[in-house]
Amino acid sequence: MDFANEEVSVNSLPQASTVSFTPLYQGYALIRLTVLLVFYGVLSLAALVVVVLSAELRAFLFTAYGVLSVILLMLLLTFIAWFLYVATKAIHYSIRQHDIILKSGVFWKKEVIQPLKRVQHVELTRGPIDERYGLANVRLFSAGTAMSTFRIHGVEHAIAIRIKQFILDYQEKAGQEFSDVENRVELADKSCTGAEEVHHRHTS
Amino acid sequence: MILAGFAINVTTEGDFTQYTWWAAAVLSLIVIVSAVLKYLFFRYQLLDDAVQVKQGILFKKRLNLKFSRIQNVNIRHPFYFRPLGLVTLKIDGAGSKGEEVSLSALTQATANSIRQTIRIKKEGIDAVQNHQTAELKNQTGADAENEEAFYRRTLTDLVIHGLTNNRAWFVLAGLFAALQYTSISFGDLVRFMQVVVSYYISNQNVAFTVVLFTVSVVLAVFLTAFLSVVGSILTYYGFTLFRSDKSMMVHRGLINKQEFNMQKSRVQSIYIRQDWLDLVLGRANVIYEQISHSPNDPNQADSGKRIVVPSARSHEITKLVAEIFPISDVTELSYTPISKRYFYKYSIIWSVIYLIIAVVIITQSENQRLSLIVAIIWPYHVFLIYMIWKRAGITLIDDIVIIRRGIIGVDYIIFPAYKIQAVDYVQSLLMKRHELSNLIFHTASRTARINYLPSQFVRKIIDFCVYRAESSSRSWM
Repeated sequence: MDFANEEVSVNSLPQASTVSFTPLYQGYALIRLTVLLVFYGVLSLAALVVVVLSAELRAFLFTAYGVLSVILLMLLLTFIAWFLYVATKAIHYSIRQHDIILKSGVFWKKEVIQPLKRVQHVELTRGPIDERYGLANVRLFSAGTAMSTFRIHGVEHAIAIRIKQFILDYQEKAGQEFSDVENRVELADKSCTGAEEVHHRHTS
Repeated sequence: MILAGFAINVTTEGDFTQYTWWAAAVLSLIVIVSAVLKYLFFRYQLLDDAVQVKQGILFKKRLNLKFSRIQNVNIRHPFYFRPLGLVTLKIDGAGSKGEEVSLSALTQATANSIRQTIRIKKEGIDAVQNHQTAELKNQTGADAENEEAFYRRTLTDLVIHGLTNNRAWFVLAGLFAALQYTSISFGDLVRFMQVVVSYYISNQNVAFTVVLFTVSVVLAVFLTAFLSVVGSILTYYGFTLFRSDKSMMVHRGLINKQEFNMQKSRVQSIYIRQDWLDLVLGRANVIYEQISHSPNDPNQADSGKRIVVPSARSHEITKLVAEIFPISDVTELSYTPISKRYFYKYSIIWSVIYLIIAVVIITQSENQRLSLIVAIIWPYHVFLIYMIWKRAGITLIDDIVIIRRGIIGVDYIIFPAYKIQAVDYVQSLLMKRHELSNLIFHTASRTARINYLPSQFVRKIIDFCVYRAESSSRSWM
């Protein structure tokens, strides 16, 4: 036998593999792609200026190597743009009673399950582009994960608010108020010292 | 130390004698005055629910550390306080930085009573949070007294630990710091070495050079080992582990004695680390891990948050682990192995690399001897990959997850399922075809991963651990 099948004491456990997943906001991938293309535009303008000014560079560009490197560069940039679009489209999330599951990845598919009981801290953020399109990002922090945070970005603002509220409600229901400092670990950048402050800071 | 530096300068540069003495005098005056001021401006107070510290001469700093946020209370015995019979009390808060209170120059009695007070208050708070009854609250006070010493390390053990764990850097760092204060510069040392080397090399004898090289390598190894042993002795001298029902305490150290306190419930994982030399000698290091703020870097220093028991014997390890997690001998359990594809994939990749290198050497280089090196390294590397595959495994017993790994020595990562913070399921396209996945556990102390397990199996373990974490009413702290 290749592997041993570990016996699980509870036979009808909820299965993370059978849940239905929600994608991000439909137009989010396109929005990100557009931002990238705008960035490319700026980059090409700068490159153009450099080419116009430098005769050396122009000479190089007309050689075989020059053409080859330009083609490779174009391919690389196209790949990055395509990857960004596909990767964003691949992000799905699912909210269950006791946890949130986040699926992501194009070549390397990753599923992260974050039990709500272990969430220390919820953050709702919006960048300028998010504001323009009515989107928001939700970030969850659990203990010992100052670096790798659980992030659902590019969802509609209303949905983000509901997700955050759901988590806060869960915490209160579970008997763990945010002011329960015993179980809250202070993170490198954030320091909250009471339920009031947390709630005020995060009402958007 | 600055004065020593100046003193050496004085003996060599006669002209500046007067100037240097004046400078030394002014400097020492500044040091003394600031020390006195710091002492005068430091106040601490034990309130009903917190420790309050007010310090600072120009920039006043006020810290209010609630008992409920206290993680550890440790006592240090720095060598410069010992003749006065004083200690330093260090209180760690749950935060990553700045939530730390350091009370210096207390008498042992004061420090002990403060620690006792904090412990009683904390156990009271914990009892309330875990919905325990008032009776229990009264009992916990008594429990705090009953810590028995149950485990010690002898000098031999420390020597072994020094040999098996390279602590040479620790001593070297100290030496380097000391070197800063003498007038011998690094440049002088290098020039000295150059003179010695050129004298011997000028003999133009190849065999002699080889011998010289071998001797210096051997010397370096011995020196490193020696320094490592010295470091180990300095750190772990007098290592004694105390236990009670709810907590453990460690006393260790030669020059700077330290006492670490650890509440058993706060231990997030236990890491048993065994290098190849440990395996030969039948030893391993048992590391109790609490909340860490860089859990992706599992090799942090041995501090109050990560307590290392050095070079424990195999039969002692079970006892040490059982103090925290109720499992029997980890080495006797049966582990689910990882897929052979791990071995195939990496041995093929590296074989191709070595093949390319060999071809390059044979065709391009004049020195055919280099290919001999490749011929030796290549099978050795494949052997190591095989060992990694053989060692890797996971088991779930009594709701406790144990991940086994290692190359020659065997490591174990032990944590209870309910303490996980989050869990990842990762899979590449190729792995999906072969129904394999990678499993990554996140605990508050570390991330533990194991790759190339059957996907179905991974799903089951994840579902189970997530269930435990979400349904258990036990606090993970």
